[in-house]
Amino acid sequence: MPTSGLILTLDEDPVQRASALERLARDPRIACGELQGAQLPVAAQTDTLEAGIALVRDELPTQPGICFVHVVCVDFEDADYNQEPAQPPTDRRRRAPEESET
Amino acid sequence: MIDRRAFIKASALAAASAAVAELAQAQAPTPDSAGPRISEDGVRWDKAPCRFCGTGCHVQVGVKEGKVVAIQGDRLAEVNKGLCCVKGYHVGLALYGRDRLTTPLLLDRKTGIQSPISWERAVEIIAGRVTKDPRGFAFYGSGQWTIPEGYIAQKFMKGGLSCNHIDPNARLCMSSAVTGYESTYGVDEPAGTFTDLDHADVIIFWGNNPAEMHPVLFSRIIDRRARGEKITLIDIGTRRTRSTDHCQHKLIMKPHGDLAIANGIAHLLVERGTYDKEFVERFCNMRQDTETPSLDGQPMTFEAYRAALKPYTPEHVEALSGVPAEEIRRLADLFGDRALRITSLWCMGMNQHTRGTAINRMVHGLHLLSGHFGKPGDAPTSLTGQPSACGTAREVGTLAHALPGGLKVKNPDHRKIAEDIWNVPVGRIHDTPGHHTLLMWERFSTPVEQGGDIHTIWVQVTNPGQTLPNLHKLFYPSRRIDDKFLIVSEVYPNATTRRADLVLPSAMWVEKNGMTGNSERRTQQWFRMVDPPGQARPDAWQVLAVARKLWELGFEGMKDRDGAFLFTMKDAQGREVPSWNWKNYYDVNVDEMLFNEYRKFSGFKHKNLAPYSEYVKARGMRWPVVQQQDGSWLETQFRFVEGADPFVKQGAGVQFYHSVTKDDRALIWFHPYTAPPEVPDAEYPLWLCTGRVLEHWHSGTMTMRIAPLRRAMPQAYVEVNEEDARALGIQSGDKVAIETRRGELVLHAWIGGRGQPPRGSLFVPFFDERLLINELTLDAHCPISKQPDYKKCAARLRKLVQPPKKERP
Repeated sequence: MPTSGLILTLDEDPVQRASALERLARDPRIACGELQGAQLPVAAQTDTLEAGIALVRDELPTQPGICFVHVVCVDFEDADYNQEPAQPPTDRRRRAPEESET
Repeated sequence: MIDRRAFIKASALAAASAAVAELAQAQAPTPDSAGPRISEDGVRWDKAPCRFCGTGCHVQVGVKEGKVVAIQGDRLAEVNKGLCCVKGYHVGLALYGRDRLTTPLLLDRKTGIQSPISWERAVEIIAGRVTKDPRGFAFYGSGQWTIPEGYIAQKFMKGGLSCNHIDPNARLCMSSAVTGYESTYGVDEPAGTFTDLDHADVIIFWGNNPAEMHPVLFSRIIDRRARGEKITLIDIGTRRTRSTDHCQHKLIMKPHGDLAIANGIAHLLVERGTYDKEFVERFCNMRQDTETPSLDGQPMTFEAYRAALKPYTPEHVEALSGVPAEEIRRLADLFGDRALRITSLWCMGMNQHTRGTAINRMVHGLHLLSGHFGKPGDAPTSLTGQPSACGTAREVGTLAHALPGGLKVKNPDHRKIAEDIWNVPVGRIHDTPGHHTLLMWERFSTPVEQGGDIHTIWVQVTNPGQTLPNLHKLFYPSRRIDDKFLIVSEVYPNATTRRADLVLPSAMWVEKNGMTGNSERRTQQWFRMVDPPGQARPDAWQVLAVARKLWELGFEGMKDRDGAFLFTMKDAQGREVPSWNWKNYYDVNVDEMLFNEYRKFSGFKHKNLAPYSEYVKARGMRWPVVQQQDGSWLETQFRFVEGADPFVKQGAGVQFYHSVTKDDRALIWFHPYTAPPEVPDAEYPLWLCTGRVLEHWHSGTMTMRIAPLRRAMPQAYVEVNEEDARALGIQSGDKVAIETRRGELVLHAWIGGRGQPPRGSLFVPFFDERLLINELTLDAHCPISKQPDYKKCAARLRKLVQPPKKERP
């Protein structure tokens, strides 16, 4: 289970900020630390690396009330970080034979 | 008792909390010499700069049982103050893709099969390619080369083979920044540093997307805002990005509009009298191009400069650039206000430009003209995309015209300095610059009888089969010509290795010792922490082994003035160590020996470096680094400014001591607006821009091996403007064909996309080797820097439809 330490920079707007804090507190993947100014330290645990990266890259930055996500640390010692074999991409495509122009 | 998972979670929260506390103080951490440590869970931690971009964040790398198992932002690092971007999440994973190259492979051109061979055989083959004709042997390197790797390749080629055909991929990403700095200040690389981002009131992104490409730098700005500081962010670009969303002013311009915008600002500063007259009179000269563009240009008077700017009224600039006249006035207002601190940042948008040198000079010129130079937060600063584009390509000088330390092959005094340091016979270094990247690959793709004077290229740490422009012209032809031999040192199979005659497996990042130099003149060091897989070996060892083979064959170029081997390594007792034997490579620190020799070059252009041992203790130091009376070594935050730069004379205030005009003045250049070399027309009505995505680093050789990243962004796409898509009947996910005058590519459409391209423009990322957009790009380039333009060419788009399925009879 990969674990990461993050810093979330929260919105200046108090309503947005409170809403973000409430949502984060309910999220079972996340443990919140003490808010300092606009910045909230959190620890995040996800089942897979993929879920961890999606959380950090896509999910948290696009949540209302969160302006920016920093990664402070990540531990992937017991994660399967090669869940599928790396397939060398060799399928060089110009135009698929079944396609035609409009 | 706390279980391991809970312990790791608590540790992660503690690390984040500590980093927040330090950020809240907004202070650089106290420099420290903290070395490796072992944590309670048995993980050994040591420092290394991140493998990816040019920001140069330091991370702590956690190793257990011979594998990297954790990454932590390094709290002692001033660059990132304990933070990483999302790339830090996977930098440790880049080592462990399952298809690492682990043995040398030789291609049989008749069968098309690459078969394993021994290292001994591989080294013999390379030596044979050199002795065939050393002047036709070329080296194509990288801004991802470590400093010692670039240095040994540089010395091998210029000091050993008397051949200057060595150039890095950095030619494709920042050579316009080099020529911009050199022709403005007389010497390369930024005066300012990242520290300026902590002090600027206004930050202008000129064709730059740091939110995605340099996230840690961008977060320094966002964190200031979060602390309540007022910062004005302005984005000038041809498409919206994630950076744009954070900016108060979003200026979407037509391609090449930046030339007009810079002139429009300068025009208003001069006409309104809001330029810094004292700064210009004391510290600047005016300059313009010669008829054939050149690095030095020709003088012009201030009155001629004013007259040349006259046509660039805000309304005329609006017509040329598409940016409203009021925004041009706003920019001029900001530059005309000397109470503000203004930092300009740029990267590929300004550098990958057929007028790249010109627009670099013009942005420097705006800062000089307005006096926004030399105070914390007042700086024009280019960024780099590779971890050692500055350290290796620019400072070690692995460019075809350069020698280490900012010296030039054309200058006889510089050649003598290099020949003396290398202890090679007088005249060993050839006096003519070698082929720059585009010319090197063009000559390699041309038959010998038609002037193709390059017979072999050795590629290290880069992927030209994917990243060169106009691949049909510059890359593919050589693969069909007999006796054009391509050698590639790589870590994973990619578009270049698949077409190579000889593939060499390389060690990467913490599998070897290394040093890099980031975008703010910061030189960084790390030690090997894990073993490379199979027979993968460091690039520096590969060059050393070939050099020794040549020496054994009696090749004169591998002998110094005294007949000794050019790359002799000695232990602490002064005994020669056969480092060319792999089993002896780590008997001495080859990096340290190479760096301490390279360091002798660093003082000639005031790029002074400290001894290797000082970088072991530090999280990097920004040159010039000068020893103090107490024996300590002091870095430099801002060059050319009294009090900050140790080489500025007392009382001078500002001194451009490598001035082109030899009078301690910088140059303010005038350049007229010109249209791009290829613009949309009736046949090809759209603009095509290419670039990067957040998930993948450059050509994806490393990041496509990380399964979560590959799944998150599995293939390239084309971003299409919503109105254009509607007009063409295209919806997101549709298969479309993009065509330019150079080729055609089929891929999926993404309406709007992340970058939200404006009407009439497309964007395609270049990370996907199955969908090679560089088969379509233009190889037109800046006449001075020779850097090609990947950001604009004419294209057309059409929808493809699936034919109806035939019913079974």
